[in-house]
Amino acid sequence: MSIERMSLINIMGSINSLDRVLELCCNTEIFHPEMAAGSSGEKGFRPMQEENPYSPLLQRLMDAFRMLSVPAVYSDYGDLSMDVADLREAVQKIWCDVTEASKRSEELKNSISMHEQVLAQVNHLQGLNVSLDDIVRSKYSVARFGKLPKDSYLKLSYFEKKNFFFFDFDHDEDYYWGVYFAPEENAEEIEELFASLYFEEIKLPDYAHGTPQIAAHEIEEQLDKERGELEAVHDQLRELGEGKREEFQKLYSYLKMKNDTFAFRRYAVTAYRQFHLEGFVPKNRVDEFMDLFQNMEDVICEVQPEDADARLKPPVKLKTNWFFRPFEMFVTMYGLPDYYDVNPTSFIGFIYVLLFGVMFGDLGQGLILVIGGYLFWRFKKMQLGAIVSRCGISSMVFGTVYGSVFGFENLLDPMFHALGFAEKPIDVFESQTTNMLLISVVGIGVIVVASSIIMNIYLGLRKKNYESAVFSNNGIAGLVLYLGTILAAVLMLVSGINLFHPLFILLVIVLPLLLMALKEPLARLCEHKRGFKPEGGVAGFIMQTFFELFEMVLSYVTNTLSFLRVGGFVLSHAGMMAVVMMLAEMVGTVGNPIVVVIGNLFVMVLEGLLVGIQVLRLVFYETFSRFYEGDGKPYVPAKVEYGEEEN
Amino acid sequence: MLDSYSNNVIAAKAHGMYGKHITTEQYEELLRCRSVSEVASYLKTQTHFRHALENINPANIHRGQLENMLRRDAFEDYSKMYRYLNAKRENLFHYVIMEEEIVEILRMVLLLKADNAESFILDLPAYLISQATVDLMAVAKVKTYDELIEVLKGTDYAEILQRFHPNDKVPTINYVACEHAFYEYFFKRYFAMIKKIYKGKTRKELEELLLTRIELFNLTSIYRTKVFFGAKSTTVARRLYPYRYKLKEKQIQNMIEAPDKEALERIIASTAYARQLPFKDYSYIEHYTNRVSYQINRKYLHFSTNAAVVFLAYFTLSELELGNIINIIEGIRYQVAAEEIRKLLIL
Repeated sequence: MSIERMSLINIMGSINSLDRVLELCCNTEIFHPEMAAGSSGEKGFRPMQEENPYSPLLQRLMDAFRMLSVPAVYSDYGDLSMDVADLREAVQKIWCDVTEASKRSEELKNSISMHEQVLAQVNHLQGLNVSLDDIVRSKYSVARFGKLPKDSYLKLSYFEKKNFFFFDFDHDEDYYWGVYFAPEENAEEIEELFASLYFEEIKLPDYAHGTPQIAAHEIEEQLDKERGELEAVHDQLRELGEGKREEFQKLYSYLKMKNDTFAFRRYAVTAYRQFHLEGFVPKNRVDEFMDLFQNMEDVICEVQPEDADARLKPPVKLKTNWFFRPFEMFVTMYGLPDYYDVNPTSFIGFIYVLLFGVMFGDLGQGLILVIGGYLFWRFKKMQLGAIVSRCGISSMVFGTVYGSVFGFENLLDPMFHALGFAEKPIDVFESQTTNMLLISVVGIGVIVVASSIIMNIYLGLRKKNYESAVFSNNGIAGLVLYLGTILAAVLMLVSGINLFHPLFILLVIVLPLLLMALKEPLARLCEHKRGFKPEGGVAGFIMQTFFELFEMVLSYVTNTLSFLRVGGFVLSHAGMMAVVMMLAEMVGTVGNPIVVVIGNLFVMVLEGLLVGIQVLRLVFYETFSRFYEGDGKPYVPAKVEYGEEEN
Repeated sequence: MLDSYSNNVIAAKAHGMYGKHITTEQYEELLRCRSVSEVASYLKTQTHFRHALENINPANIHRGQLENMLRRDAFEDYSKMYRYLNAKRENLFHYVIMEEEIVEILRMVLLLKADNAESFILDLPAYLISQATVDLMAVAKVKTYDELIEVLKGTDYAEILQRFHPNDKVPTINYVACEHAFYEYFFKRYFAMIKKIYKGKTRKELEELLLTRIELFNLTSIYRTKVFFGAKSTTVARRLYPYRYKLKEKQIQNMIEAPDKEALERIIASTAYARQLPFKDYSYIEHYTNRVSYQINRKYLHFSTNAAVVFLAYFTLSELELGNIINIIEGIRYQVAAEEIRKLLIL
């Protein structure tokens, strides 16, 4: 239930060492950079705004890789050391190796790109049934093809007395495509007018002849021919790439490292040939991080408490045990906790796994979920797969308790008999069990809601937010009211003991309600602040408080009863499997296994999805809304992202 | 019940939309751009303007065209939010339109004064043409002040314009007074609408937001007229709008009568606004008042549960964002240093 503690690291040193420092930061993958103090220009510091010299080289190398069909993957570059000039030379050499073919490829690409652009333009002119040659070669008028913004098109009527025509052939959401004509003597004036209306001219190539339809057809033919030729050139290059693959990948890895580390310069500020970098490192790895700079004499690295720079909020790295770690996905989805809060993942994970198992109890189907989830996680790297496999374990446990295996409700009976039970522990179809089940899930609901309130109290006290921790509906007052009322109601119903006498009502119901109503002034009192003045006047305050209290009390009831759905899904799951079994019996011996398999798959997918969503809803609404703020900042350490260019 | 749902929908929609607004980090990235094309490309690929700019070619786009598209997108956002409410009665969105109408009419007055009325059409926002309550295309065609009054005949705007008709005593249009009269009319109508349509906390919060806006407007006006134009106390007082919220009567009087810039700044530094945001080291008074406005509106956007209030706060914040982007675009276009542009940003 914790969040990784962070330390603030300040690194200062000679500008000559900056690249080396950034390389070390990226290699360790533990330094979360922040905009260094002074990035807004104070104290003579300037942010670094240089152009990345490695970017065009990397781009060129990637182009070469694409042509050579060499994948951009990491390969250990050892102690390779090259400066920009060396790298430029190396990349250029590779480029030259493929130059002949690449030159042709480049020509073809340019030509294809130009043809494609022209084709797109000509396609927009399809509404014109006149030869382009006739328009372009007009003697006494000028014609300009292009696109006019929609906004400007609406204004054309204003210029109706001017000497021009605009014909539009096509339009999209933002532009009208067309041509305008103007007499030769007014050409300059009309060109100026259209320029002020943001008309973007499209130059038609010399080879576009005939009507737009004919021209488009000719261009398409040309395009097909050039694409075929380009493919042949690429095949030739692919063969070239096979030979030097490893050498190329080493160079790529080194260049990529240089490029990505240079990009992190944007976090640094500089003054008088000194740089300043600031960022966070997990506390338990600070020593390891500091050791990196021990041998660098012109670099000073100092560790500070995480709150030393008031501008910066420490980033959040969740620390969760392996079983519940996949549930970090749900927490992140809602928003990371604040650095000073607690990590709710295990709490949420436990509730999720428990409720999923209760709702989706089936030994066989649970096993499928465990295996299927694991495979998805293992091979597709899907976090959801890991969550499903954990839910599957819970599903198996509850499936055993319900005695249900792929919908066969009595398959485990011999095992229960051998263990000394007369029958399976819970038979969901029995009416008495159903009642007990519904009461139990409401009980689980009470525990979950109460735990969330306790969590909020703990967090509120830690932050000294007394309004939330003590006086709110999710604070001590709310907890006393909620649990006290439930306890009294249960005792009265079960044992006939009536706790609702005046003192109990006063202390457990009236007092908490009063505290909740007056939470704002009371909290101000606790914080030694004076002068509480309700915003809408006293009458408005009373009115608002009354309705708020009403809503709070109602929400206790609805939130608790919301857990009844858990019981509902237990019954619906068993019910759906009973239908599958009934259908299987109806189709006879041959169809029976097919219906059982398809029915099981259908129920697993449908129910699995529904149950998964319902539990998530319970977790997000009934628990998170009581204590969780989710305004934390994720911990994103600086690192080199090898291979991402391929995506 | 339906109203309450609409309230929640609008508030959630506004929060969602505001969540996509440009962040400090994104402003930094924008400041690193070296040309208008790079800004356009960044806005097209990395920001919430993605959809609005999807058909543009960043390499060719003109600065003016880019700004028009951003403005149109913001206007469509406001319109979209009000569509959720299906509000047929008079509402805040009508006042967004009304203010834009007034801006356009005043622009025409200014152009008529400069004898350049024909250029009005070029900067007229096309999205406004169909939404406005007056015929803006007809306004675009006027050549004289009389024609402008004639085109707007039957509207309250015509009456206001009539009051500033050049005559023997005042041979030219008094633009400053005319602008003042238009906004005075606008604010009066605005308050009347709020009083008529809204009740309770919503009305109170809307009035607070509007009063804050006017008061900051007044503060700017006092500062500018005194510091930059050295105007007399009576002139300064005449240019103020007759509303007051957090500033005390005495403070306003003292500001009007302040003998010099330092004295005026000392008074501003003692106001309720300075308690919210200390008044020091601001190169432009608007920078300070806009930042105060930014902080107040953010607070209302996050904490108010009334759709109308959230809308108004969202509107103000969006306009400030638009102002920031336009400052960046223009700064880059005219090669102003990034540090200088950064100073103009309202964050």
